[in-house]
Formats: sequence, structure tokens, C-alpha cells
Amino acid sequence: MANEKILDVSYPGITSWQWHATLFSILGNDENARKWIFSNYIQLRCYTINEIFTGDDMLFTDMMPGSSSLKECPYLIFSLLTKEQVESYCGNIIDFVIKTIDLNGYVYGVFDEAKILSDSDIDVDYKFPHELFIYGYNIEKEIFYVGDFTFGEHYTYSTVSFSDVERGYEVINAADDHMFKDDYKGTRGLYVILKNNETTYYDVDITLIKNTLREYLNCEDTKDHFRMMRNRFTDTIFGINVYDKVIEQIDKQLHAEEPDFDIRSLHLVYDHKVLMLERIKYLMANDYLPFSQALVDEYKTVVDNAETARNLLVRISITEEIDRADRFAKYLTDAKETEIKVLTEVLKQLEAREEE
Amino acid sequence: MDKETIKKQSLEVIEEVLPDLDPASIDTAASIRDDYDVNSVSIIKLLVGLEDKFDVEFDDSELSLHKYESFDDVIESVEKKLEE
Repeated sequence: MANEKILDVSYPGITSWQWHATLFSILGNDENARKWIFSNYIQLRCYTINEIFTGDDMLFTDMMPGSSSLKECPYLIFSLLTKEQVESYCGNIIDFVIKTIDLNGYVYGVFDEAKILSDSDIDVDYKFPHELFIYGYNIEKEIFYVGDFTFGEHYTYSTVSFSDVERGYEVINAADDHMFKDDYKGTRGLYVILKNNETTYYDVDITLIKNTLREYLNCEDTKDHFRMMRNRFTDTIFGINVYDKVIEQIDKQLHAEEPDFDIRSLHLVYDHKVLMLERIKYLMANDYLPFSQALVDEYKTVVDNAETARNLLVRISITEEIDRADRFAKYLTDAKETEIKVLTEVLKQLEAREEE
Repeated sequence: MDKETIKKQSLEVIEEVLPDLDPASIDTAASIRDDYDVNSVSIIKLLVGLEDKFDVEFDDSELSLHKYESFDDVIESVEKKLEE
């Protein structure tokens, strides 16, 4: 056992939600993984859930395949272990994490981050269950290297002491473990993730890209394809209609009695546009699409409008100038209209290329 | 207001908004992202602080971190607004 081991990570280009930041941290710009990433992450969906920490209604917006991307991605080997397994194999969480990292495995799971944030001598009387991504250790300093949103204003790599990780792990029970609960596993445990990117397992799937772009533009229920794994609900909004729901939600949260500056849906929408622009450039660079600077430039305005909307909410959260809120609709409506135009053209060109 | 005063007062705002920075060692030409860990939220805090200090206003589209490579770029944008 080395004194220190830090597995490779690269700061993720996509930081919406911990599962995406984790996948992009591990796979970074891996050329094989990009083929899978660009074939997926096209469809947007949103629905209302109860916020884990406050219990309030929140609009949950995500790109598909969502949190299951970690287990669906062919360039990761993903294992699920229950708390009982972890304890049986290693006795305690600290040894388990160190041994897993020694075997080049990243650890991902729900910890009570209130224990991590608070002074270690004080027992706070609330829990803040959140996913923690662990990618390294230093035995002499008794620290783990972690990636998370909790320790800064944005996604950051930092360190957490062994004792805080242990305290944060011990108090989480099955009911708190939303990661397993969302995955229909009514237990407590961890994920171990290994890189699996030395062989090409997946090529760019133009058929999937076309079908999902069509579903995105037509706001169709992409989850309908996965009924064999999950029962379907009718509470989800898909595709381009997500813009309208986000506009409605921002208006509602800013005009509440106590304004709520939750930025997550807007940041997700922005990340989706950043990734879509990268996808378009990638498809052009690899001759799946004819090169068109005009199309790239036009889509860049979609990215800019989504970013401006997100930044505006950050500004309002600082200044509390709620009267600026009427600008959101214009930025997002402009983005929506241009995106429909550009993606309709992209889809047309992909279909024409197939017929050649 | 002369450029030297604008820079001096801008640095005061930088110190207020980014208290972890050592004011004596700020290199205003260095990368704000790579060298000072300025992110998409802290840049907006800084710009809002400069708005208050100099009574100027940044458009929504000017709040993007991508528009500024260094603190010099940020200070220059204040200078331009004061000249308008």
C-alpha cells in the first residue's frame, strides 16, 4: 500500500449534477468515450420532485441517460456494493476506499456532508445526504481526494479527512441513500467505478443521434423505450418543451414569498447546449455532417443565451433585483427558436447523408 | 477618473470579493481562471461589486467568465464604461 495514490481526473466540461461531473471527471476527453457521450446526452427531461434537503418542490431537469449514465457507459466498469458487503470485505469504510483506489477503482456514494462541512467536534442535528466522488488518498495526512459541489461555489476537487468520511458514511441509512433509492434499491451502499476505455466498445451511433434529435424536437417520451426496466409516469416533460417549464419555474421561484435562487435547471440547460455545440463540431470534424461555420455560429448564440440566462439568475441571487426576472423569457425563448432551427437542419443533413 | 485610480479601486473590490487572494501578490495580467480560481459565480460577484463601486452597469451578456482572461480585462471594461 502506497502512502498516497491519486487516480486520474480531469476537470469536467459538464458539471450539472454529481453523476455527470463524475463521469466526465473520469473519462475526460477520452476519444472512445466521446463516441458514446456524443451518441447520448441529447434528450432533456424535467419533472417536479421534493428537494432532498429542504423537502420543497423543485424542478428536476436532466439530460438522458441521467444518473444511470455511470452504469450504462460502456467505458466504465460499474459495481454496486451494499453496506454489508463493504463491511464484510474490509471491516470499515476507510480501508474499503483505500483498497478500492489501490485497485484503480473510484468510489461514489451518498455521505452525510453536514458531518464533513461541520467542525468535527460538533455533532450537527441535521443531515445533508449528498453524493461524494472519491479518487485518491494520502495515508500520512489521513485525507481522501474528492470531487463535489458542496465545498465551493461550483464543482471543485478538494480533500476530506478520513474521519469525516467515516462519520459521513456511518449515519446514512437506506432511507437517506437517495442514490440507491432512485435506482429502486432499498438499501445502503456504494458504487465502485473502474475505467474501461482501452478497447473500442462503442462507435458513434448516427441512428441513435437522429432518433433522439427527432424525439427532442418533437418532445416525445424517450423513456418509453425503457419500459422493460421502469414503469412509466406521465409527469415528465421532454425535449424542447423543457425551456417553457424552466421559464415557468424561474418565474415561480423568484416571485415566491421567499424568493428561491436555485440555479440548477438553468445550469443544466446551459451544459446541454455546450455539449450539443461540441457534438455538432465533432460530427462535422468526423464527416458525419458537412462543415458549416454558419450553423456552428448560429448554435453558439443558443449557448450564449442559455449562459446569459444562468448568469442573470446568479446576479439576481446576489443583488436580489427581482425586477430583472422578466428578461429570462426572452433569452430562453430566443435560444429555443434558434435551437429548433439549427437542430432541424442538423437532422435533415444527417438524414440526407444516410441516403447518399 | 484616471486609470491608476480605477485600478487601485478595482483592486480593493477584488480583495473584498475574493478574500482568499493575497492583495500584495495579485498579478493583474495573470489568468483569472488558472491562477486565481475565479469561476462563473465569483466573476459575477466581482462585476456586481465593481458596479456598486463605480456606478456603472454590466449588461447581462457581459457577466460571462469567458469574456475575461485577466483582472486587467475586467479593469479595462470598467474604464470603457466610465469613458462612455
